[in-house]
Amino acid sequence: MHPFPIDLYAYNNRLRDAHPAEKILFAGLTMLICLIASSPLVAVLALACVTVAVVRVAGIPLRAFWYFVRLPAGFIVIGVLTLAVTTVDPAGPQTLLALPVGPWHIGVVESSLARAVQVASVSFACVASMLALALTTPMVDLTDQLRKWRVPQLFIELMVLMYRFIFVFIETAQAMYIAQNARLGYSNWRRSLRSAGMLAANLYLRSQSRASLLFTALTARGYSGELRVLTAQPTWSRRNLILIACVESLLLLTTVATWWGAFV
Amino acid sequence: MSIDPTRSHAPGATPPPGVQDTEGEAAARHNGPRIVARRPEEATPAAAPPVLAAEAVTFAYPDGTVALHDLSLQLPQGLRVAILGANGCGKTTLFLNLNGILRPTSGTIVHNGEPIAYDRQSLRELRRRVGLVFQDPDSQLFAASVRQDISFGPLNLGWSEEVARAKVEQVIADTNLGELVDRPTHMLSYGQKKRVAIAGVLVMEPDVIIADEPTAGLDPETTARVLDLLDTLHDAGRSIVISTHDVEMALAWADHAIVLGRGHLLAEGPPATVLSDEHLLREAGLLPPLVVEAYRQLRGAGLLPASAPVPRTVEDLTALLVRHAKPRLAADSPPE
Repeated sequence: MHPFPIDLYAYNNRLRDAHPAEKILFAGLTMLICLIASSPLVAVLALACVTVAVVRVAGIPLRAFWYFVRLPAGFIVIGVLTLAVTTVDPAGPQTLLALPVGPWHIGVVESSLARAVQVASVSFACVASMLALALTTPMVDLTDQLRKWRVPQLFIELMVLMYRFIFVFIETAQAMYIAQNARLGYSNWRRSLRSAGMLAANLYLRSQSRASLLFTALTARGYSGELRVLTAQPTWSRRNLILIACVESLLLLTTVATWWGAFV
Repeated sequence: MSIDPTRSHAPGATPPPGVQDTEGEAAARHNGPRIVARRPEEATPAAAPPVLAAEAVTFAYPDGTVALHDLSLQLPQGLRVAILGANGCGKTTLFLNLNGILRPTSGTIVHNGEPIAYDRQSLRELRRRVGLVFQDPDSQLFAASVRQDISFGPLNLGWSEEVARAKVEQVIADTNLGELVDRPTHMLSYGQKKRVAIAGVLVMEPDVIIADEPTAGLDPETTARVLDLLDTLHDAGRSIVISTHDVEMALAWADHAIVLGRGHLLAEGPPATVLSDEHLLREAGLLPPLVVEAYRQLRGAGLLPASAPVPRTVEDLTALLVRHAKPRLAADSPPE
């Protein structure tokens, strides 16, 4: 697999040249509606819409998208388990499961299970929306758009430098790891710990010298405290805007419908 | 048919009328890119005023390491200068001094006849006119896309967005980076990063481009591409200064050579003179170029007269042999 698969898709998908604001709008609105609705139905619907958008419109393989959506699943499941499992009254009408633990009973009740399902579905929908953005939009486009929206410069510069240096560090760390491994640095548990420690310490020193080199190189190009670069001038697409409007209206209508159902 | 041994031309170029295509040139075309000397006959370093000069420059780092010792040298205007020396001879320190990033402990840097000033405004102007390309492109490229990275310098100069945008597009066209512009910098190959780094400096329209080891670690084809790019910039009237320890390349490419050793100036002058001084090169931690060594041995064997000029490329050497040795060999064994 490519070392930076998310980036690879970000630069090679059918929405690569779409206006970044459209993509931010789509991901942002979908997340917002999911969070406000807090309804498993809306979340599942949103997940379906996002999946169709990523697979059909952007042309990213379903398997790849699914792989990335599953990555945070562990966190979500653990988080949600603590919601589902509570202390329960073993004789309560809503109790689904009760296990005696000393003087108490822990288990699952209908309301806690419903809460867990709700949080899990909303989480997955939000993760999928973020991924839809990450997989279709290169970092440059995001920072460009944030610049246009007048997000504080410091925030954007940190994003730019962190993004750039992630790759430099991954490459450096990989090279160091291979060099250590070639000299049997990871042949047993103790040595592995030692080598990993050395790698981390070295990476820190390396990052220090990298930073000072970068500063020198930027100074040579007239750096005076602000990383200004030209931003691209993307164009809006009527088709995309209509699609976004359709999906978001569908989600909103469903949300209103669930509220209506709850009130009736 | 006579061949002028002082002239050779780029592979693939049409030979000027009256110049026979030598076997060497045919081979060069066959084997793909190759470094070939393009020699401006009018290039006489003594006549050209220096664009940059160091006058009795000493530089000591804060830890006490003295990197430059009372160094005086001149970088002639409009020439391709190669600064040679072993690792740690002070090349990079010198470059940082020339661009005003480091300030000499004593002595002065002179730019176009004026000692450089270290106030903000003067430094900005100096850095625009003296462009520095770093050895490791990863330390220079910071932006997420090639186009953005190239636009960094122009915006620092305070040019308007329209002007900057036009200059960036111009440089992208001039340096043939068209197919790379929207790529993220981390997806480029090492050689591509080098070319982007040069473009990022070129866009600021410097009079002098100083490149630290521009060809170190590059394969021959990429080396030729980078040198080609530097030649294009030179043809546009810029002075080009590179550091290297590739004596073959310096001999073929440069108009003027400077040899440093342990922070001292060891020699400066025409590459053919400087780089055929074996004693000097060994003192600098370098070895004489192979073509010079072959020339010396052929002279020793009596195949070349003592008056034959030092060849700068294999093509030059072939031309010398065709001119001096071939008639003799032909006289020894008459053609059938």
